[in-house]
This record gives sequence, C-alpha cells and structure tokens, in this order.
Amino acid sequence: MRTIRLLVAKDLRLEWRTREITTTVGLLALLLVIVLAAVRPEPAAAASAMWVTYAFAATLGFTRAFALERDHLTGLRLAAADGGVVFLGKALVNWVLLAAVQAASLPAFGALFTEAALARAGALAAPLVLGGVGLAVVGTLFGGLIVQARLREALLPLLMLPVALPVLIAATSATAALLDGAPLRAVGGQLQLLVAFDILFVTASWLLFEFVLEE
Amino acid sequence: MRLLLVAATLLMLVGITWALLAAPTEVFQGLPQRIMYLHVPAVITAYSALLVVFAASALYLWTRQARWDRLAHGAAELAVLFITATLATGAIWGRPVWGTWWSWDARLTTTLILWFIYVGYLIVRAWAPGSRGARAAAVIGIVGVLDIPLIHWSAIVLRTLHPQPTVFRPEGPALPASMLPPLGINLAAFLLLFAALLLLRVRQERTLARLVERLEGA
Amino acid sequence: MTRPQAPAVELAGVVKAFDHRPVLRGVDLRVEQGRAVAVLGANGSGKTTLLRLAAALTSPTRGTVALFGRPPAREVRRRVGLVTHESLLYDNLTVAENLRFFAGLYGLAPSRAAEALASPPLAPLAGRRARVLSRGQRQQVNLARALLHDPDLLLLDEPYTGLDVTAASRLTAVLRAERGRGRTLLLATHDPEEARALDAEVAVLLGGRLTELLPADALDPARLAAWFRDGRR
Repeated sequence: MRTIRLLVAKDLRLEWRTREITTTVGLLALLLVIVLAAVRPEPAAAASAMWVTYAFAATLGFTRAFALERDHLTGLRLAAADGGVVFLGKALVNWVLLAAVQAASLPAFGALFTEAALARAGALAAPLVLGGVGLAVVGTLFGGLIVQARLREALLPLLMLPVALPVLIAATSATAALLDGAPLRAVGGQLQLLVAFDILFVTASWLLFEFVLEE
Repeated sequence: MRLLLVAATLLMLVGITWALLAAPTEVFQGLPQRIMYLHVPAVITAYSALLVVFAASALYLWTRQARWDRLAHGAAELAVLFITATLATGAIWGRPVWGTWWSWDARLTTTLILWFIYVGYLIVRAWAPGSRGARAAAVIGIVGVLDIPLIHWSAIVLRTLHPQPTVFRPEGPALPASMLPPLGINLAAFLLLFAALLLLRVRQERTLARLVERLEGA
Repeated sequence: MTRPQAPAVELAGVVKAFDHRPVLRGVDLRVEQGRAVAVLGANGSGKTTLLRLAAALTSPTRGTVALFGRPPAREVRRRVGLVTHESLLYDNLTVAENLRFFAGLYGLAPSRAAEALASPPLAPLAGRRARVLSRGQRQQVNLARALLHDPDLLLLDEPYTGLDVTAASRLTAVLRAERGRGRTLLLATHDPEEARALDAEVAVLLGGRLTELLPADALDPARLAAWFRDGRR
C-alpha cells in the first residue's frame, strides 16, 4: 500500500513538472470532440463520440506513461518491488489522467452535443468511472507488456481496443441511455458488466504483472 | 502426424460428400444450409484451439518450458485460421439466408473480436522475438480467453439474430437425426486436422530452436 | 541468517541464451564475501548479462546462481546494490526526491535518504534535477542510490564510462572505502587499470566463458587487448 502511494506520488509529481501527457492527451481529446461534433452534432451521437474520444486519448496517454518508466523498470525490480504493486500504482495513475480528461471534456460535449452531458453529470459519473477504470486496467497491462517492443505506439491500440471492447460497448450504451434521461436503475445491466470486467481484469493483471515485468 | 493428416483428409472427404449428396435438404433455408457442415466444425475447432492456447500459455508461465510456448504459438495460429474459416462460411451462409453478410449478433461479434485479439497475439510474436515476446504472448493468450464471456455478454447488450444452438444443448440435439452423421464426421475431421497441423507446427518450431542452438552453440 | 562462509556470488555452469543464442556458455565464478573481483571483457562479451544474473534480475538458461549461499529470491535481492552504466534516476525529479523515492521503495526511513544527502559530494546537488547533472555527479548519485539500503554486495557495470580523471579517481576512492567497510565488489569493465586501482582479482570473459581468478598484475594489457580483438585466448 505504501509502495503504491509512493509510485503514484512520484508519477503525478513527474507529470505535474513536465505536463507532457496532460498537454498532448488533453489537446488530442479536444481536437476529437471538435471533429466529431463538426461531422454530427446531434445529441444522439454524443455517447459514442464521448467513448471514441476517451479510447483514443487513453491509448495515446498510456503509451507515454510506460515509455516514461521504461528505463527505470530495472530500478523498481532491484528494490524488489512486487509486480502486482507496480501494476496497481501504474493503473491508478493512468486512471487519474483519464478521469481528468473525462472531466475536462464534459463541458465541451455539453456545449457541442447535448446539455444533458452537464445536467446529468452526476449519473454519468457511474459509467465514466467504471468504464475509465476498465480502460486504464487493460491499457496498463498491455502497456507494460509491450513497453520494450518495436512499434509499441501502433501495437497498444491494436491489442487494447479488442480486449476492452466490452467496456466500450457497455459504457457507451449506458451513457447513451443516461443522456436520454433514463434513470440510473435502467442501466443496471451495463453497469454490472462494467463492474465484472473491472474486477476480472484487475485480478488477472495483478496476478500476471510479475511475468510482464520480468526479462 | 502423417497418419493424422491422412485420417483427417479421408474423414473430411467422406463427411463433405455425405453432407453434399446424402444429407437431407433443409426446408426453409434450402441448399445454403449445407454450409453448416463446415461452419459448425470450424467454430468448435477454433474455440478448442483457443482453450489449448489458454492452457499452454498458463503452463508456459508456470513452468518456463519452451515446449508449452511452442504449443501455444501453434494453437494460436490455427485458432486464427479456423476463426477466419468460421467468419467466412458464416458470411457466405448469411447472405442468402439472412439477406446480409454480417449482423451484430452476440456470437458473430464475439468471434470477430477474438480474431482481432489473436491476430494481435501473432503480431506481438512477430515483433518481439525471444522469451520476452513469448511471455507477452502468453499473457495475451490468457487474457483473450478470459475476455470471451465478457465480450459475449456485452454483445447481448446489442441484440441477437443468430440461430440458437441446435446440437449442443441441455435437452439433446434438435437437428434431424439424418444431419448428425455428416456433421459428426466433419467435426472429427476438423479436430484431427487441427491436431495434425498443430503437431506439424510444434515440430517445425522445435527443429528450428534446436538448429539455432546447435549453430550458435558450436 | 547470514552464513559468513558462503560466497557472496556463486555461478556454476551458467549458460544464458537470448532467443537460443548463447551469450554465456558455461560460466563458473565464486566471489567470496569481502573480496573485490573485476570481470574483464570486450564490448558485447556478456559482462552486463553476467551482472544482471548476479543481481537476480534475470535467470540463467542452464546452471545455477546463488547469492550468499541461497537461490536468488526476492529477499536476497535486497542485499545487492547495482550501478548500471545507464542511469536509473528520474530526470525530472531532484536528487533528493530520487533518493527519497528509492529509499521508500526499499522500505527505509526517509532519514536514510537524508543521511546519504548529507555526505559532502551530494549535499550541494540535493535540490537539482537529475537531468542537469554532469556525468560524474550523476554517477555519484547512482552510487548513493545503490548503497541506500546498505547492501552486502555491490555490482558495478562499467562505472567509469564517461568520467573525467577527477571524477574517476574520486570514484576509485569511494569504492576502496566501501571495500574497506567489508562490502563485496563485483565490477564489469574493459580496462584492467580499473581493476588494478581497486586491488581487485580479475577474471577474463572471452567467448562466453570466464577464466579462473588471477591477480590484476598478472595480466599483460597488450596481450589482453589481443585477446579482446580476436575473441579468444
């Protein structure tokens, strides 16, 4: 637990100093919102536009997050840091960055697609958080897996998006229903799926990450 | 292995002939229904291959023996092959019967996504050689299979138009008895073919590994 | 817990292959506690691989590695400090933050990092970011990082690379002092002079195999250079 806090604090401090990921990912997200809105500004397109944006932002941000750590994995392993702990720390940081993008882009979706994006922000938090966690977990697992591979920028979305598809489908469907004015109760099935995905993948990645970090 | 290949070929010849000539024509779907005799064995073989990938990947991470990695690699290649066959036969059947090549049905979606996941697996193998790539691939192999129920569940959130299972179901097969023998023969043929090709690939990789070791170790 | 008679590092019949290509082809090495040993080898001869095996960062394809008489499990790894030729520091953290982070990873009190920072060469660097350090300063911080948890065995991979004369002689002084404190040193280098400066015994890594331990003076630099050039004795 202490090690996780240490890793997260270190990563957030580094990000605060350089703002590398926040700037690039934030700008990309904004750009995507604008392009998607220019093509099809109807409220009906809002949910899919939101999750396309998040998925793109996530793949870009997560590749950067691990590139940053690549030369330091030896140091972490020398200190006998447990693979599962490193995973939890990295996933948490990735989720915080993604959540920041989600929160920051919500007003843009509200302005360009449908005001419901802001008016229903409270209910939307459920799919945004649960789906965000799912993307962060899968992205962290695969990001760690391919950190030494050639062409990792191209490889991450290729691996991550198919596996994360249940998250994208369930989260988009829940988001769409909530924007339509449905009560939180009505999207219970989707939220259940998201919770199941998050639990399964946190557990599996936590167990497998020791193998991921090895050389 | 040669024996397996011969047996698979013979069985397939029998099965396909039977399916095309002797099996009854289905009343509503007509002739296109006969593609079922390839489609169902292909999909069962594909998912069996995925189970082999899963088990061999887990064993590889557990034991670190290269032979499990070779088994997983070979099975993943064949899984992609049989998934491709499944998708192709399904689309060819879907066009005349459903009037569309593709639909976002739960089973179709799951199979398509699995195709992407395991093509990703093969790409990782191609780009990251050695034990690092083997470990990365093993993790993907395991995660991909764990993902199957979730993909299926999420695709149900969309909706379903695929025929319900007609052979493997709790209350027993619903197919007419005259359709079962050719289907069974083809299934056996596909599984034998899979076993033969898997053996072939594993042996090739083993020979390659030994050759490299011999040459470099001299 | 510590059996003082057990060697700090013991490699027996170690083969390490990458993608079936062997880098080490049967290496035997025994480093007794408190000794200093230098592994001499040309670039690409497998020195780094040998040190990574000794740090339990990677496992041998065949053969066994033992640290302090035990298989290299996670607990034993904590008795090992490693200085690699690439820096393990985070460029955008200050020296103090880097050391505090690694002290935390090792589960040490922050005061341990403060102690390390109080030492004369590091004190003026504490507030600087790692990226602005010179090569020599960086190596000092690296060494301090590797010694934070007071390891019994210190592994050094080409620690002199890129150091100027002053920095190099300072490093030699520090390493001799560490040896005086009873720390075991295992150094990888291509330069027999470095081994001599540390009074280290020497083993030469050639063609994936290691010679027996020799006194540093027993090696004729010219002959060694010829060996490295030809890749064999």
